[in-house]
Parts: sequence; C-alpha cells; structure tokens
Amino acid sequence: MRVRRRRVRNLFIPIVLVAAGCSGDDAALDDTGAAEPAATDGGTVSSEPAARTTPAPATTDGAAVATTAAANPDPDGDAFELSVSISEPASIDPGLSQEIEGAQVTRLLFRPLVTLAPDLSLQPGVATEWSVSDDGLTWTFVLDPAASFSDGRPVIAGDFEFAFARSADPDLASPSSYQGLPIAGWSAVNEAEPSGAIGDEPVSGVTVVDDHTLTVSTEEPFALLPKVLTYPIFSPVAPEYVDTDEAAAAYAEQPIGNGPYVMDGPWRHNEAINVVRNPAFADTPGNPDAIEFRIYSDSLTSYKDFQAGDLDIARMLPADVVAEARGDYPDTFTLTEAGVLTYMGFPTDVPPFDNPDIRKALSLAIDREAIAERIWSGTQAAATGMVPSIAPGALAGPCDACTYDPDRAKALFDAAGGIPGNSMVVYDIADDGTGGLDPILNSWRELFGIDIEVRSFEFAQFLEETAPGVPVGPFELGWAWDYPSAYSFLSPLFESTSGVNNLSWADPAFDEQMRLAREASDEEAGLAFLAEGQRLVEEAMPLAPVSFAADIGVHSERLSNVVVDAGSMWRLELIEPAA
Amino acid sequence: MALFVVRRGIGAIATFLAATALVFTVTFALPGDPARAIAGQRQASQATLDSIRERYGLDDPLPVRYLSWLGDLVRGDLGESYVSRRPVSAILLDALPVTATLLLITILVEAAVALVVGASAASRRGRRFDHLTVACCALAIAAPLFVVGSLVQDVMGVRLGVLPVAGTRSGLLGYVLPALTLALPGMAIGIRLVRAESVTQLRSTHVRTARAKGISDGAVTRRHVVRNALVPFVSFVGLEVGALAGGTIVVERVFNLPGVGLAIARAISQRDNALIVGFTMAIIAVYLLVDLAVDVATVLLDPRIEVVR
Repeated sequence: MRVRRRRVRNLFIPIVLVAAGCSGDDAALDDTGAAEPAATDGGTVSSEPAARTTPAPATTDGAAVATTAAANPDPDGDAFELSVSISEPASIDPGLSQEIEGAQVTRLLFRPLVTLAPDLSLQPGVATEWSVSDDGLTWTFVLDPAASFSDGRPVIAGDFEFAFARSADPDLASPSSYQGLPIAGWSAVNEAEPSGAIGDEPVSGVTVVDDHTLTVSTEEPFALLPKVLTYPIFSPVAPEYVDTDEAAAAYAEQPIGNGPYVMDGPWRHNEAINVVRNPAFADTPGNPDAIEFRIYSDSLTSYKDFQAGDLDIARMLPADVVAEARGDYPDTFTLTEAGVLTYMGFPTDVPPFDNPDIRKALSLAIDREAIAERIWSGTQAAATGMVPSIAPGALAGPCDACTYDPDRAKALFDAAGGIPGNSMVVYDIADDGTGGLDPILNSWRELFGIDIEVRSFEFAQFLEETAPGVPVGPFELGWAWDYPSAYSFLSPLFESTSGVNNLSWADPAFDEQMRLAREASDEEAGLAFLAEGQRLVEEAMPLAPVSFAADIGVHSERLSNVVVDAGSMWRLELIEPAA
Repeated sequence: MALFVVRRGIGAIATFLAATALVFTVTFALPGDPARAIAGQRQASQATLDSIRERYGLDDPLPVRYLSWLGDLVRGDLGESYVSRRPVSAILLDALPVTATLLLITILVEAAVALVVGASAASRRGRRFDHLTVACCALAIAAPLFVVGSLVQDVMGVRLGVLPVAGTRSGLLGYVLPALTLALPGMAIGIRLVRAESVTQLRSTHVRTARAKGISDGAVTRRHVVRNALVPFVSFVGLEVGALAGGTIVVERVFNLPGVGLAIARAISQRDNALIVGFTMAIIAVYLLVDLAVDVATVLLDPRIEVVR
C-alpha cells in the first residue's frame, strides 16, 4: 500500500515542527489488516481457541465479566478503561478501510475469517479451520457456528459473500478494493459498469456451501491468500445493515461488527470513538472494559495531553519529542519496527537511469545512517535492502549497493558516463509521508557535481505527470506492506504486471520467481523464491531503498502488556492494568 | 432606510455569488484528478473512477457544476466530503458551535482586558506601568500564535496542570487557553488603541473642565475618557472578528478544538474540494451578514452618517 499520510501537517511545518518532518501525527500508513486477540493456542491453523469451548461457566471467567461490563462499563467504579490517541480516521466502515488510524478501531469491531497474531502469524478468526484444494485454487473455510454480530445475529457464510461483493463493487469505490484482485471473479465485478446499487453483483470465486462453510477460489494458485483475507475489507457485513441509504449512512457512523468490542454510541467526529467489550463475542474477550480513541489533529498535542496525565497512550510521536519521551518515560516508551519502506525510485526506461551502474552509484551516495539519525531522530532505520527486515522473507542486509560508499559511487558514476548535461530532475511527492530528500540531493550534488531541479507534486498529480515512460528523473516514494510478507513489497513494486510499478522495470526472471512463490505449496515453501527475487532486484537496483519506518509511542505506567505489532496495530485488547 | 437595506442586500448577494464562483473555480482548477485522489493511491478500476465521477458530478463542465452546486445550496445541500463521505452541511453544523464559542470568548477577553489595561496605562502615562504595558503589547503582537499556544499549554496544562491541555472534554474550561492565546495579539492592539485614544481624551478640554469642576480621577476616566475612547474601539472589534478567523486555523489545531478552522485546514491539505467550497461559502456568508448588520447599525446609531442615495 502506498504510504499515505494526511497532509494537514504540511501547513505547519515551517512554523515549529521542522524537525518533526512527517514522522508523526496524521500519519496514515496503510494498515496490514485486522487482527484479533491472541488466542492462547494461536498459530495452529485448525486449532480451536480455548475460550470458545467454555461459554462463561464461572463468574471469574472473562466472558461472563464482559457481559456485565459492556452493559454498564463502570458499575463499581473500578472498571478498566483506557484512552489512546488516533487522528481522524478516513472511515471505520470495514469495506472502506484504507489507513492505520481507522484500522486501529475497525480491528476491534470486526473479525474476518482469518486474523493475525501479535507476531503476525495466522490464527483463526471466524473460520476455525481452513484448507486448500490440491490444485491450490480453492480454499475452504469452516466457520464457527457460535460467531455472531454484536446485536446477537449469527455470522453466516452469506455475510462474507455479501461483504466481498460489497468491497469489490465500484459503486462503493473502496480505496482498498485492489486487495481482492487475486480472488476469481473479483476484477470482473470491480471493472463492471457501476449499477448504483452496492454489493448487488456477487464475486464468482466466492461460494456459500452452507451457512458455516465458505469457499474462495483464486485465478491462479496463491499460497498467501489467507494473509490477504486478514485485511478489514474482508470482514463480514450482514446485508440488512446497509440495505437502505439511511441504514448505510448510520452504519458508516456506527458499524455493527462481530469483534471483541462494540461501539458505545456513534463516532464523534474529530473528538472521539468509544468502544466497550462486546457481550456477544464468543471468543477470548478483551481485557479493557472500555477504550476511548481520542482524536487529535496534531500528535504533539496528544503527547502534551499524555504528559498532563489526561491520556493513557500517545501514538505516533513526532520526531522532535522522541528524545525527550525516551528520557522521561524510559519504561513505557515503545519503538516498533513497521513494514514501511521509503525509497528513491528510478525511471528505468529513460537514459541514463536505464543503466544499472548509474542507479547503483546514486544509491551508494546515500548516507542512510546519517539520514536516520539526523532527520528522523532514530524513528526510522537505515534501509538495508528492498524489504524491511521485519518482513517474513526479507534478506539480511545490507545489500551490495545499499551501503554508503562515496568513493565507489564516484568511480561507478564516472565509468558509466555520468549524467548527460550534468543535470537532472527529481520528483518530490509532497504528500507521500516521506522526508529527508534534501540530504540525498545534497550528497548527489556534491559528489557528482550535478545540478538537480526539484519538482513537487501531490501523488495524484504525480501519477498523471508520470504515466509510463514520462518520468524523467528519480522520485521519492514510500510503500507499506498490505500483509506481513516480503511478497507484499516485491510483487507490487517490481513485478511487470503490477498496477503500481512506477519504475518501468520488468524482468521475466523476477516475474518467474514471484509466480513460483505464489504457487508454492505454502508460505514457507515460497520463501526461497522471494529470496531469489530480492537478489535479482538488488542486482538491478531499480530503486534505492532509503529507510525503514517504526511506530513510536509512550503509555501510562498504569498499563502493562502494551503490544504493538509490526503491522502498526496497537493490540489494545491485550492491555492489562499494571500490578 | 428600507431602500438602503434592500440595496445593500442586493450588493451582498452579488458579492456572495462572485466570491463563491471564484472559490469554486480556483478549487477545482487545481491540477490533479479529484476522482483519482478519492479512489486512493493504489490501482483503482476504471469503473471505480467512473462511479466516483458520477457520484460527485466531476464529469460536467465547471459552470454547470457551479450552477448545480448553487441549486443544491438553496435546498441546504452542500454535497458530500470526498474523504469522509459525510454531508458537508453536517460537518459544518458540528464545527460551527465550537468556533463560535471560541470567537465569542476571545472577543470578550480582548474587549475587557483592552479597556481596563488601556485606560489604566493612559492614566499612568509615562510611569512604569505604562512603559511595561507598551513593551508587553509589542511582544504580544510579535509572538506567533503557534509558539504562544504551545507555551501556555506546557505551562498551564502540563507543568501546573490547572487547565486542560486540549480538547472540549472539559466543556468551557477547554476554551480558556485557546481563547487567551487567540486573544493575545488583538488584545495588545486593543490596549494600544484604547490607551492612545484615552491619552488624547485626557488632554482634551472637556476633561480639563471636568477636572476643574472637582470630579474625581476615577470618575473622569470612566465617564469622560473611556466612553469616548470606545467609539474607535468598537469598530476595531468588528474588524477583529474577521482577523481572528485566520488565527483559529492555528489555535484550533494546537488545542485540538474540532472547529471550522481545523476542518478547513484539513480539507485543504486533503484536497477535499467539496468541504473547501462548502466551508468557504459559509464563511463568506457570515462575513457579508455581519458587514450588512454593522452598516445598518452604524446608520441607526449615528445620525450624522447619511445614507447616500
């Protein structure tokens, strides 16, 4: 997913927050998908989470407590409640989910077929088990008969069928509909003439066998499909919740889900979203009785609210307070690597950028360590390869041309004939959430003695300006994974058939490795092909990786077990009161 | 008089149409396809883009869109936000009370402080209090709102913990720091205005006469100095409402108040054209109404001002 941050900050950067760059507040990296509380035995595909088989036998049982707690979150004044900062989500409707702010909420309200454990391994969601046919094309999901929406209505296979059709429908115009493209028949729905009605066209690859069995077919074998299905747009939606315009409008403000939490009143825009434990949730309940998502327009303000003791968790700290926060709150400061890559891309079909040696020379001239330290105050790490090191399947770095070696850079640059006219254009995508362009340009100017003209664009405009073959110079962009796998970087960025390959780079040998990874019997078996694919890209350097991002936060000492996963999701349901 | 109001009303409507047409044109003339921006930054099918263009009427030529926007406006429909897909009118109704509250408190604070401090400084002209006031005013006018806001937040909210740092959760208490911040530059200008006007009044013959009659200093200041100094100050407060609107963008952000300034700043940065146009329209309308009201009030209050035919 293209890294996208809300752009409110841009207005204010010149005033005070120069050092903050774009690290902080309105960050809206696209999320990696919903995930649910870690089942005690999570990770085993066919396992039954423990709580599901024991429906509230004793008063000490979490599920029984949840029922009373949700009905009245604070009966004795000792309920466990917490507040956490977010920026105003674009949407909390699962079908329109597109950025991590909204996903922090949606993942508590909904539970898709399959979810991700805190270590981002797969664990059961509504589906208690799943399997794939021998030809690797058809996945069968067995649904938990006890699963229900928060209003008590059972979750059945048809709710997934409808949700998939809804998310694919051009009438919904979901920014995340591309996620379903591996599913057979998805693109046919997504590309069909808009009918005006949402979810009226079923996706042919999704079949309801019975109320508790669903099959999903892919166009070609795709071992990673269960990981794709953890994304919020694949969460169940009961058709009657959105069957009229009025109902759909109400649903957008207060969606009815099947997750561990349920909304406590509608979304108060720009103020707060409140959730309480869902009494109808049959699986392991969340620990906090109630969670308030406090909406901030500026992460610096949320940090001050935290300092004043009015906020329990301040997320997305701006870079200019990171050192202070680390010093003042050493025990509760958290820094979690995220699956986000910032890079300088090259138009590999335009001379001299069609020459791999020029691309390598430019990459070798980037002092990544200095940028991570000086621009980002350690909130981003120097990139060591094409894939952030936390992604399953990432090669250990640094790659050959990912280091800082000015001498070798100059030698390669001169040997390759340099850049004609000693001048080039660099595209700065102002709203892409990336930063730290200046040190790169300065080092190119000084080392190679070239003139650089910077052209600033917004992303939508950049796409028009740089239709295939049009970009005439390097451009700075970011990419966040859609699901935790090296594949979620490699295929979209580099595969010749990808709709978002802005590099005009195509290598049949690389495409072949991606195909083999997809068709591997399982994710593990595909890792070798992903590794080979990375080696091919690192030899060609169609882009120069710059940094890997991290999520920075700080929390109150009254909380314990505060977990942030590498998909930037705060596992709020797992938080416990500190002893 | 009725003719004057009608004439001014027609003028206001013409201004409104010209201003909104300009905003509409400028907003939509910016490069970049709004449909693509709405569709998200990854691949969107042609059908999705078509559906968005249909939904937001992006296919029609600009004049047609402006006219249909005006038609919808008459029915109270300002369209739908590109980002949240909520009705712009609903977003506006959420934001207006917040900004109105903030502005009201700000103006009250400005007026009260300016009158008291300005008049006191004038009556102590050339003494230490007067010099201090003048110096503080210069500082207050020069200090950027963002810096002042952060500073009072740190001191009053974080260090002392006496007032909420941000937000509207504590009701009106949450408006104290933002209103003080926002009021500061206007307060300083107001103080100087009242002080200068009072100094002039203090030197005037009618004040000398009052003194000669043995009226106490305090009574002279209240009855003869401040009352006359009020006239230019009231015009200043009228203008100040407009000047403050820009400050709300900064202050609402720093103090996390979900008002008009915050919404419009975010809409501009997110290229949420429907919201930009709707909110700008509302601001223009409020301005024109206030302007009309001030003109009418002036004519009614001061018989020396003639209605030009």
